[in-house]
Amino acid sequence: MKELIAILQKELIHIYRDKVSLFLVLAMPLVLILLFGFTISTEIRNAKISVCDLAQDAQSKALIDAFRASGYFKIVHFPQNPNEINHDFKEKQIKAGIIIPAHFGSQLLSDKESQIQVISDISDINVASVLNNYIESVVSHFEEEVNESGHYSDNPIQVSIQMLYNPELNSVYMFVPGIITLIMIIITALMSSITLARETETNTMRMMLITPVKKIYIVVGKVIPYMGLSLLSTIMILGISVWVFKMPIEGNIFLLLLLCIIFMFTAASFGLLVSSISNTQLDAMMITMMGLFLPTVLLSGFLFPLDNMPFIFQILADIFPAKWFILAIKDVMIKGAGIADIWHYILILAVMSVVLLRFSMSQIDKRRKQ
Amino acid sequence: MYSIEVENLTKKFGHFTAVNNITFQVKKGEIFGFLGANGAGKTTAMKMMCGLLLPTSGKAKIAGFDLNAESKLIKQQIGYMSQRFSLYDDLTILENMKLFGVIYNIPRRILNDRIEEQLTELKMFEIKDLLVNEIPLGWKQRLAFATAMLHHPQIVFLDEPTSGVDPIVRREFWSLIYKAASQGITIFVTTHYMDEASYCERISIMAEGSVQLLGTPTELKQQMGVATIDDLFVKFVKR
Amino acid sequence: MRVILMLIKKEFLQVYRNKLLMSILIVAPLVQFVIFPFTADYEIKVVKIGFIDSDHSSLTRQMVEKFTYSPYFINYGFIESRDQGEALMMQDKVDFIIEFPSHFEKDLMNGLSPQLAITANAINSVKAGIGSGYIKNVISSFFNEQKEGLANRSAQPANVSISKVYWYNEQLNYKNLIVPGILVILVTLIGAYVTALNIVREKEIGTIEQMNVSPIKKWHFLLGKMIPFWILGMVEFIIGLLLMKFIFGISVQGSVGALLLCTSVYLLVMLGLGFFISLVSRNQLQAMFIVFFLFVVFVLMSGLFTPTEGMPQWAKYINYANPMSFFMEIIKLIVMKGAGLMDVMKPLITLFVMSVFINSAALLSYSEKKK
Repeated sequence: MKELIAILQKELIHIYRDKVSLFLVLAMPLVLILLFGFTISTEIRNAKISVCDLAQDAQSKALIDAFRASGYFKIVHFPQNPNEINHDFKEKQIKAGIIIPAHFGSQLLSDKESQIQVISDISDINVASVLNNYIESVVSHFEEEVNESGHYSDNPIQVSIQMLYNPELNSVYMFVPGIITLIMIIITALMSSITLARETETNTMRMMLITPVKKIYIVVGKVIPYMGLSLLSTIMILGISVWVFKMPIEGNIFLLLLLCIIFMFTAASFGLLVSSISNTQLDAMMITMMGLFLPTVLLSGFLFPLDNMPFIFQILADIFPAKWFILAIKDVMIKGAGIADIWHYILILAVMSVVLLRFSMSQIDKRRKQ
Repeated sequence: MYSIEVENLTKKFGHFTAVNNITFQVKKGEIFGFLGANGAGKTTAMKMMCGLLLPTSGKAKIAGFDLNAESKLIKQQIGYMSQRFSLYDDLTILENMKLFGVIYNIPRRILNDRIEEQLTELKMFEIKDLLVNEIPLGWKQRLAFATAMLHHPQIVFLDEPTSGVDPIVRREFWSLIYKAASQGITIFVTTHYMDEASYCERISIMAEGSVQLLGTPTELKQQMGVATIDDLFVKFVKR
Repeated sequence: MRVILMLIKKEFLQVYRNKLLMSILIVAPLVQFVIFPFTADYEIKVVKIGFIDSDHSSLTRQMVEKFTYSPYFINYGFIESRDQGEALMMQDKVDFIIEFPSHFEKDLMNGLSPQLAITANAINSVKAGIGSGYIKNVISSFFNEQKEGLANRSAQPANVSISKVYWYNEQLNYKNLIVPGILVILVTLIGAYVTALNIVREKEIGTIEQMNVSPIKKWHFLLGKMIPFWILGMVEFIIGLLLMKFIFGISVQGSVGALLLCTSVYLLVMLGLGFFISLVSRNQLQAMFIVFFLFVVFVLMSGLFTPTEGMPQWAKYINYANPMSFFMEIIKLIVMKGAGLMDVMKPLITLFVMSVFINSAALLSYSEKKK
């Protein structure tokens, strides 16, 4: 036990001395969550559009007003000729052009059927798909208004929609579990694998391995401080999401922390494995980035929905621990799940950790005999 | 004629004074041993003289040029071999020599001749295409010395050039040093092997940032009343 | 000149001998190109829907059938109770639950307005929003069909259909944005990451000291480091362009010359940044952290994965310092919109100014003599 404390002390001094890294480690979760929370909103306001109104009647005017009133759009130009819209894309940087055909109003009143044309700039598909949704909603709202003013009965079915778990449709809910995962991987897996690889690179590992100190102490002593750091970061993220983004923690906070600690073990075991097979810090970093970080970003379901992926990638996603952790954390945090609901996720993560740990221990053993 | 003149050179890191007001001269063609316990300030002093570290105060003339004003001119006149072996591990012997030769602006024809000459002398000509990380440490050190000598510097600074190798390899290395000195090159060498100190023409002993003793090994032994440099060092450190 | 050429040769030899770096330089773009475009797709294509039917009428069954036929929905089927529904939602088996109250059909016939309750899993807010839109559409079109037989023409509600024309990316394909985006990431990584780590490594193993003690000129050293990685970055970019064309069939719509020019300037910015970071950091871990930190911020704010249109003003100001967002803009303009050199002048000049700035900063902070 004394040896463990000595190693722990040494590692803590290392971390404390490297102020720049320490600062970045603690600033990273802060910046990530603020970026995701504030800058990456799927809501777009005042998107520039051009409207070419060839009808110039009461209905077309009403439709244009509806676009304006929505707040999503800013009409920057009313071209006379539809061809001018082409120029507007390049010169006025509009995101979409809307063409209201001649006889729009009369057709709408007589045939109950009319058409508008929307030309969108899809080069930024993220923006375009959001704007398309807005356009659809403005138009359907307009339809409703026309129908009401025409004294038709209301749609006879009243539809009430209840947004469960996230009534204000805040996109940060989606990201918080993902950010926690990324931070855990960066701090626990990446940092511990690199510091362990540094010992190998500078040969101090060999020196420690020939001392009578139990190897488990060496490894644990190196990894625990980073686990502590990542737990601190996780608590920071949770704090910000609760106080700044008003995100609730529905489930038991201790269950949540337990979950985080288990995932931390998984990440640390991965870091150990990486360090046991790499010779230099660069190796360790590259393997962790390619083998864990990138798959986590791509295949954990927090940025890109897993449903859309080809089957083989969905299977691949099951192998990486991040997916299970994110599912579990979402359930506890947002849906208020209890241990009975998520025990199978915990089991999966625990099994993964044990397997990784066994594997890396045997690798270290091999090394020691060399 | 002095090739190194150091006057009141001082280096402070924050509140810590690594080198405290040292003054000494080294004659041209002399082998000057710079001794001291670990952390005495040897490497810091040497780095200042090589222009790797900015002095806090003091003056120095290296190869006749002023350290503060003419450090660019000094660089062409000195060779340096650092404590950490610092040739490129992933380049071959030949590639390393060529690289540094070009960096010191040695004309192509002359460079090729010199490299061949050096490699033959080191008996490394046959293995010139081996990567540096494939050869033993003793060879690496001799190679580093030869590389530092390629541009025919007036002074060579050697920072613990033989640490970590056996006595035979060390003796081989010292024969290279003698040869260079016989050609009129000034050798400034730090070491903590006391037997090496007796190879030097003059030695100085540093402690706590200051030069405490300076003279020929025989002089110093007599002065302190001891039989060997080893005893001298132990006695001095105990003091 | 001879010195610079020698340094370039040295750098290439080292890269060539570093098996790991080589394999990453070659394999990473291939892997990313093959995997990324298939995974990076966040269009909401289908939502899972379940029904609680307390009415058990023919009308509700028809309605459920209507949902089943729609390509947007995966029908989970009927759910016994609200409790069961909530449990299913907890397990992510359903995204939406539609609940028909009892007497739904009867009330409708009697002219009362029965209420349909929809419950959405709103953790993914985009999915919830789009899904509820789909559901409303299905309900109203179902209702229109129902009425068609009964009511006369004038009672039919007005309908405006929207015909959409998509520009620059006709197949509405995420790949067309993601694939050029990967190119940007690769170029950035080579520029900043590899350069920074390379120089810090020389610091750690002490070879940089050997350089500093020699009469080599500062800018020779700088160029000797930058040119090799600049060439590597350009080669990587060109290979990427070819892969993009032959694997994904995305060809550059605009001027390839202008694209290469912009890339070379962007690389200069990233190389300078890598150089600067390597000078201020003490070890590889630190350098890696700084680069990684900046990289994440750059990527997230560049608009590659997420829309940046909705960013608050202060974030937009910060983004003016983000070289990647300017380069993304150029890529979109040239690759997808067919722009030429004149169209990208503004971001190009911005990048150029950035490169001058960061490289001078690096040159100034590089000193052979430590304080």
